[in-house]
Amino acid sequence: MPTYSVKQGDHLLKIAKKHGFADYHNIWDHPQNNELKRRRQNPNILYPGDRLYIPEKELKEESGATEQRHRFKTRGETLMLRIVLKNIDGQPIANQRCDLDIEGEVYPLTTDGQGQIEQQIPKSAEGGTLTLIGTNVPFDVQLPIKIGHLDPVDTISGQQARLNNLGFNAGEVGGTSELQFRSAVEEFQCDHDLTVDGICGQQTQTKLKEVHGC
Amino acid sequence: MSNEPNGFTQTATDGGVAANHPTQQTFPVLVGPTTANEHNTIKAAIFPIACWRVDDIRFEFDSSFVKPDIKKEMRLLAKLVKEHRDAPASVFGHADPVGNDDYNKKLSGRRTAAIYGMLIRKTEIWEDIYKQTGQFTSTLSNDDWGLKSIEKMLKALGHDPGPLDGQMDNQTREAVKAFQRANGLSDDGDPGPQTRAKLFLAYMDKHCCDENDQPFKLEPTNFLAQGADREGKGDYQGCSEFNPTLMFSQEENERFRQERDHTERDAANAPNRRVDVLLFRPGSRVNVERWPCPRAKEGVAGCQKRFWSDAERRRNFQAERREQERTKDTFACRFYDRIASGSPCERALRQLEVLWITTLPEYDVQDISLVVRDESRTEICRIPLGSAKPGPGDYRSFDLSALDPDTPHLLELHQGDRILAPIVRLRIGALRRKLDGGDAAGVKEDLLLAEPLAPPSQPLRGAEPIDESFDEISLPRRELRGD
Repeated sequence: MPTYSVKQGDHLLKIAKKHGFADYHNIWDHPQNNELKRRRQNPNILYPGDRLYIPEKELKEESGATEQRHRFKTRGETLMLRIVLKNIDGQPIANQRCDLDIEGEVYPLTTDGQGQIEQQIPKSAEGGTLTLIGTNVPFDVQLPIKIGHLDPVDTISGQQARLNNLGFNAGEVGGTSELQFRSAVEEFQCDHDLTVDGICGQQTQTKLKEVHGC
Repeated sequence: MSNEPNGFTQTATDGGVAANHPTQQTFPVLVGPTTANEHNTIKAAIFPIACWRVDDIRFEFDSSFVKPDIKKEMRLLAKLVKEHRDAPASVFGHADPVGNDDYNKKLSGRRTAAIYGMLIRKTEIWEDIYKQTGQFTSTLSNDDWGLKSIEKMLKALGHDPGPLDGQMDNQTREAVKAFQRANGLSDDGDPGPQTRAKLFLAYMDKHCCDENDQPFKLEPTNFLAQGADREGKGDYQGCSEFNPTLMFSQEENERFRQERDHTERDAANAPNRRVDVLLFRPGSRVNVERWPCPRAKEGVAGCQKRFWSDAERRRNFQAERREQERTKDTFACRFYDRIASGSPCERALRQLEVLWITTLPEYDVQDISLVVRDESRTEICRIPLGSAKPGPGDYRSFDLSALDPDTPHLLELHQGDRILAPIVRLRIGALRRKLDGGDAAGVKEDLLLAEPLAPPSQPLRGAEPIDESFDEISLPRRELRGD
C-alpha cells in the first residue's frame, strides 16, 4: 500500500473512510506514521503534503455457529464539530440559536453556557453554513464553514485562520499581507500578555492553539 | 451620497467628511473537526462600517471650543447616522506631532469630549471643560474657554456682545441679560452655571442639526460602551499625537524647526488635527473593562501598551514624507490602525488642486458640482463647488484624497444633472508625484479642463465617448472661462 499525500480539507477520519478503514487508529497508530503523529498530534488537523502511510487492511477472522444471527460491531469513532461563539469582549454567547447546515442536512442547535454548539458530522463532511438566528451580536448572520481546512498551528496558514476566527483579521488565509498578519499577531500577543514582537513563535503558537481550542 | 462599486460613498465639506467604509472582507471559518474534546472559537471582530471627520478649522486654535461652522459637518454626521441607525459610535480625537504626548492627549481628549457632549447634549461635559472641573480638573492653559467663549456663543445665538474680547463690559452684560430673559432666567447679567447650562444647550441645539435644521441628538446608548462609564471610556477618547495621517520628511521637519514663525508648519500639519466618529457594525458593544483606549482625561500609558512594536520608527520623521493612505505606517497605535487604516476619513487631506477658473458669472456657484466617475462612468462622488476651498487666484481646489491614487478617474463639472464641462481623465497618483516634486504650478498648468465651458443652452455632452487619446496629465491646455 502506498503513502497518501494529504490534501487541503483532509482530515484523518475522512482519509480512513476513503481507504476503507472504519477505525482511523489502524492508520494513525501504525509505526510508519509515528513521526507524523508526533509532529501533528491532532489527526484531524493535518497539512497539505503531509505523507500518511496507509497499511494493508488485515483480514480478521471471527468464528460463529451457522444458522444463527451474529452481530459484529466495528470499532469506529464519531466525528464531532464543536464551535464556541464569543462576542467582541471574548465573552461566550450563550443560548444563541443557530442552524448548522452540513451539506444539506440542517441541525438546529443552541449554544450552551460556554457559547458552544456540538454536532456529530459525517466523516466525509467538507463544508457547511452556520446561520445565527435572531442574533444581536455583531456577526454575519451566515458564516460559511470549511471543515478540515484548518492547518496546523505551526504553519502560517494555520495561524492566519485561527487569528481570523478570533476576530483579529490577519488577512486571507494563504494571503501575503505581512502587515496585516503582523498587526493581528501583535494584537493577539498584547491581549494575552505575551511579548509583543509580531512574530508568531512557539509561545504565541501555544497560546493561539489554547485560545482557539485546537 | 452615491454608491461606488467597491463600496465607499462619501460627502465632503470644507471642514470634514462623512463616508461609508469599504465592505469588510469576510473569510470562511476554517475549522478542525475532532474525535476528542477540541473546539473552534469564533469571536466577533470589531470594525467600523462608516466614519465622519471634522477638521481642525472647526475648533479654536489649540482649544476644544467648537466653532459655529461645525453645523455643516454635523449635518453630514446626522445623515450618516440616519443611514446607519443601529451602528454604535465612538469618538476619536487626534493632535499633530508638535508638542508633547501628554499635552496632546489632553487636548485631543477634550476635543472628543466637546463633540460627544454636543452630540448627546450633556452640558455638564462642557461645564467641566469650561471650568476645568470634574474629569477635566487637570488644567490645560491654552484650552481655557473663558468669557470669550461665552461671547462667541451669545453672538452665534443672536445676542451681540460687541467685541469678542473676553471683557465683561456693558455690551456683553446686556447680551447676557437678553439671553437670560429669552430663556426664562433672572436677568442679572452674570453668566453663572445656570445661565451657562442654558447657553451651552442653545448653542449645541443651534449647531448640531440635521439637513432639515431639526436638532440632531444622540443618546449615550448610541455609543460603543453605551455610556456605561461615567467618564466615557469606550465612547470618546483622545489619541494624542499618536495617529497622524501625515508625517513630514526629515528635511521638511528640519526646515520648519528652523523657522521662527510656525504658521507654515501648523498649516501643513492641519490634516493631523481632527476628530473622527467611527460607526461600528450593528450589535457591536464593548465592555469598558476590556476597551483598550484610556479615558479622555487619562494619560498615555494605555495608548503606549497598544503601540506597534516598531512604533518608534513610525513616530520619527523619516527621509521621505509619509502619508497613511500610501505608506500605511504613520499610526503608532496598532489598535487604531486596525480599525481605522484604510478609512476614507483617515487620508491626509492633501490639497489636490483640481482646478478651473471660477469666474462663472452666469451660473449660481451653489448649484455647481464636480462629479467624479470611474472609467465605467459610474459616479463615485459629487463635490459641490460651494464646499471647495478657495485656492490661489480664481482657482478652487477639491479634496480628492479619498480616491484611489492609481486608478484613472473622470471628472465632470455639473450644474444639477446637466454636464457643463466634460471630462478630464487623470490619475491622482500622477498628480501627487508632481506635487511631491514641488511642481504645483506645473500641475495647475497641466490640469485644465479639456473643453471650454459650454453655455447652459447647449446640449449635454455627457453621452459622448471618452476620448482615449487624453493623456493622464498632458491635457490640452485651454483655460475655462465664463464670459
